[in-house]
Amino acid sequence: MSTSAVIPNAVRSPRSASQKRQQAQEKRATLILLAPALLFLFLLSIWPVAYLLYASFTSYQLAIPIPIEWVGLGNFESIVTNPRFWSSLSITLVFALMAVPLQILVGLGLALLLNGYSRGREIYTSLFLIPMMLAPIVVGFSWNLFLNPIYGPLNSVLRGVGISPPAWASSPEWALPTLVLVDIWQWTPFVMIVLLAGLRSIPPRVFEAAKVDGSNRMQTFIHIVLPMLVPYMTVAFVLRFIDSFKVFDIIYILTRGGPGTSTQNLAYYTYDLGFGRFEFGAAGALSIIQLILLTFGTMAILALVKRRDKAPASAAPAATHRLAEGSAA
Amino acid sequence: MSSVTASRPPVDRVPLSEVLREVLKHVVMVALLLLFLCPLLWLLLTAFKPYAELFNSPPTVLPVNGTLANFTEGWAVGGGKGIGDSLIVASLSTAICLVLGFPAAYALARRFPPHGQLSFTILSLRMMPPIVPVIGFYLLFQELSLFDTYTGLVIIYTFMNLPLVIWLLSEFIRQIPKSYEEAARIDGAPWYRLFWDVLLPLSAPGVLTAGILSMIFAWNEFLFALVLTGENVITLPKALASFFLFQQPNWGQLGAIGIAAVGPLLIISYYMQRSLIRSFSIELGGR
Amino acid sequence: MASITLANINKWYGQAVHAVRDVSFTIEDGEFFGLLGPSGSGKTSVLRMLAGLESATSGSILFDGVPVEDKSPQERNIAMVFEQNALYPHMTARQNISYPLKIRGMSKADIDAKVAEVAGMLNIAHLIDRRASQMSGGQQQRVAIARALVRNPNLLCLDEPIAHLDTLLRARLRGELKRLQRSLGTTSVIVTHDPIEAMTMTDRLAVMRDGVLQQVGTADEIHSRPVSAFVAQFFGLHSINLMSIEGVVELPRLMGRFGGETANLPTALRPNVSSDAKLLLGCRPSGLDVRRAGEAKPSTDTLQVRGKVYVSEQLGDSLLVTVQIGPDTVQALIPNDRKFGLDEPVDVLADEAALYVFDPKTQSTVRFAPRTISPGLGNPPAVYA
Repeated sequence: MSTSAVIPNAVRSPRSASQKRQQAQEKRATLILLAPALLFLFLLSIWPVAYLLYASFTSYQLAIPIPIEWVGLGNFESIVTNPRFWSSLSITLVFALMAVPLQILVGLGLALLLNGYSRGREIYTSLFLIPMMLAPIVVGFSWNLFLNPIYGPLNSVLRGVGISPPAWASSPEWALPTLVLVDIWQWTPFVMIVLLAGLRSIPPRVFEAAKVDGSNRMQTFIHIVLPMLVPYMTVAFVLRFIDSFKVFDIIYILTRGGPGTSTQNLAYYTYDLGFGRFEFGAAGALSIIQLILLTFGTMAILALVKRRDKAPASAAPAATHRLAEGSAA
Repeated sequence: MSSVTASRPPVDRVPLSEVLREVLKHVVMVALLLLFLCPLLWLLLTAFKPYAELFNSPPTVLPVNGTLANFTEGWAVGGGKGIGDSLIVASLSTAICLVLGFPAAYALARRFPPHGQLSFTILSLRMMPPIVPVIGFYLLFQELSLFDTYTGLVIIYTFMNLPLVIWLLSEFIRQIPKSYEEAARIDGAPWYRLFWDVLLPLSAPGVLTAGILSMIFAWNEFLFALVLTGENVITLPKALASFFLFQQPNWGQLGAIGIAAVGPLLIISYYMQRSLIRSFSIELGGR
Repeated sequence: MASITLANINKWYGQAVHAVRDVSFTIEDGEFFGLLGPSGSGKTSVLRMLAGLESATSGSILFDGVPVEDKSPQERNIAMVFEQNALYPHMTARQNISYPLKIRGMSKADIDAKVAEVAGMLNIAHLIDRRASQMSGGQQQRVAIARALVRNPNLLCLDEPIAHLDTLLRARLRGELKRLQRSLGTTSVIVTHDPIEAMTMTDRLAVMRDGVLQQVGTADEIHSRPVSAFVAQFFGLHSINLMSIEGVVELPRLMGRFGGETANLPTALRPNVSSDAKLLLGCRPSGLDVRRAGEAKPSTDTLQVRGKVYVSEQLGDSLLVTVQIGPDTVQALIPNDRKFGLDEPVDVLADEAALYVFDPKTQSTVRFAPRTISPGLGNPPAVYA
């Protein structure tokens, strides 16, 4: 100890016993604090996956009392060769690519509108937020009632103004757009509040400077507001995109995947396989496939965000975290 | 009104056109909101309509013979059980989330870098669609006899919300200056008093936000409840969905239960919009 | 109360940052000791090691001769006042002050008596039931000091306790803290980057830079006998002027080049000229004089060099003149009965007795100014504080 102290510019840092002890203590405390939560999360992620793997390699069928056989990759093969898998994958993607951009667009409009209100903004904002606080089940049956062909109000209004209403959720062409409409209604408020936060974060000085520089409203919007909102829009987009893969409840209430299989996304297809037909082996394989897709998707997004992190003045590091914060089901 | 303003120092006179514009702005906004919330308002109105009025075609907007029967009947046919069960499951899982999550969030906030691997890993659990593990959970629950039990659903909801709770709390704790903890150490507070006397009161708003979100998510959750419970535990979303087993659901009762289910959330949404805006601004905005 | 010794303290943060390098000094029992240095000098790290908030990488800390490295802040019985966020915001002043006593399990009556005593001492009795958010910054710091003193600590650690307050309040609290420390006799250490604070409050102080202890002494010692150009520049009301003079020759008067101008040098400096004919001189602004060009005759016991006025600033009862000499500037503090226009040619003069000489390479002091103007004397301290 004393020898090292004689050389003030010692290159290595000699650790004293007390420092070592303190570090060991801190490490132990950290472990004690983290362990319960992490252990809980770890067990509950690993355990079901183990069951999934087991089911996906066997002929596990809940309803039929046949002996469980080892089928190897058979389930995976039958999933990948089944056109329903590919149609449900494409329905999931089409749904996301229809709903999310529209949510961003409408959300941007609402955020800009609300930002123009100095009085009453908080009240209005919280009223707009109502749909996203609702249980998707409640949203589903509100719309089911609202769009009812006989006693629903929307159709009578449309008929009143001379438009013959579509069959909404019960027509093969309109069922998916109807679900998109419901998703937009529920989740545009989320995009709106993210963008509203973005707008609030632009310092008023920026607008004053733009005014002084003589730029008009449109120019200010395009050259100043929009670029400053890009990180917020990215986050909203990614979060909504990820969440759109979870959509299940409104399908359950509004279409049950139909008519035919026209609104059967991956989530509903998995549910139908597992709990509609009790083909647990196939459903397990489908779950594993989704897990793999999801892992790669997450890694791709992470890589993308990390690359953006290197750009200066980017809000991306926080974005990484907002990704997973997702607001609800 | 004018007598109040009269005693104040003179203010710039606002021209009439300005006043009109302001009024118009608010009229537009209220109209837009009514349009936007139409489906929900319709549900609200339906909740007060007697059974006979439900199937009028064309529908009548306002209930002609308004009634509260839907609420009492709705409560009796499963709404009461649903609200009770949801309350039990949501509050228990939220409590466990906070108890498990707070110490973990503290360790994460103080001992790990702000956007590191660990916090990302924890959060990525939240990105997983519930459909992916649900079959695994079903088999697991059959094995452990947790199927259709409160315990089982509480465990699932804790699993579902814990990542978010840890993350939200750790972000909040990160913003608490370390000097408070150092002061407590110097004052000689042992660790449990540090948590109880200093950290917990200081992070109360964060705990409230995390707790409310966790409550809402558990309250609204449907898929896990649908798959992992049967006749014994019937949460509110599941109770509501069961109405759709009939061709002609009783919309009045459905509306009544639905309104009762979302009522508390409306009040919370006012609080939430503030804290959500704030947390998004802090996270993404320029400091 | 205790005397405190630091012996060969080193602090590393990770493997890359050597924040404190082999620091040793002793604080006497009852002394008010200052740790002074610019930010990043390691002064706060030293304080935190004293407090027990961090442990030293090597070296030892003794309280009354007993090693305390393995003891917690509580076991060392130290108290600390933080720069900011010193109070628990969710507690009232009373709860804040009584918290350390409550933890020690003191009875309610005893706590109340102690709290009342310190509250009276610090004039905060009227604030006792307010929360931090309901108090001004100065009031908060007073309460924080009360919380620190309430349990008679062995050592009171003050981490820039008044740095965030406004000028007038700072001046007042400086005095209060000093009187309080004197009357209680609590051994105290204050960390500060403000030389005025260090000078006015402490009995002795240590100047640090880049983790290395530069000098320990009383304010007067450090002011009049700074060990290096750094200490001389850092310590004082106005920063000392450093003049790097090159090509010094004797023909027969001692001459050199400063900022491209020829400087007349006092002959007394002859032995201090370095082998490569350089001189690094230091002179406090109060030691410099400014005269209209040609007004003063060069003499063998003054430094004299031609320059032009860059700017002259009225400081009330004196004048601060900045003179440009080639690319260099020097500042002189002179009586305000003179007036100079911008760019007016002037001579800058300094008596030989006001000149320090530093080693041009190591910056350490090779000659102290025989006559020094002690801090505050002849200068207007109000301007600076």
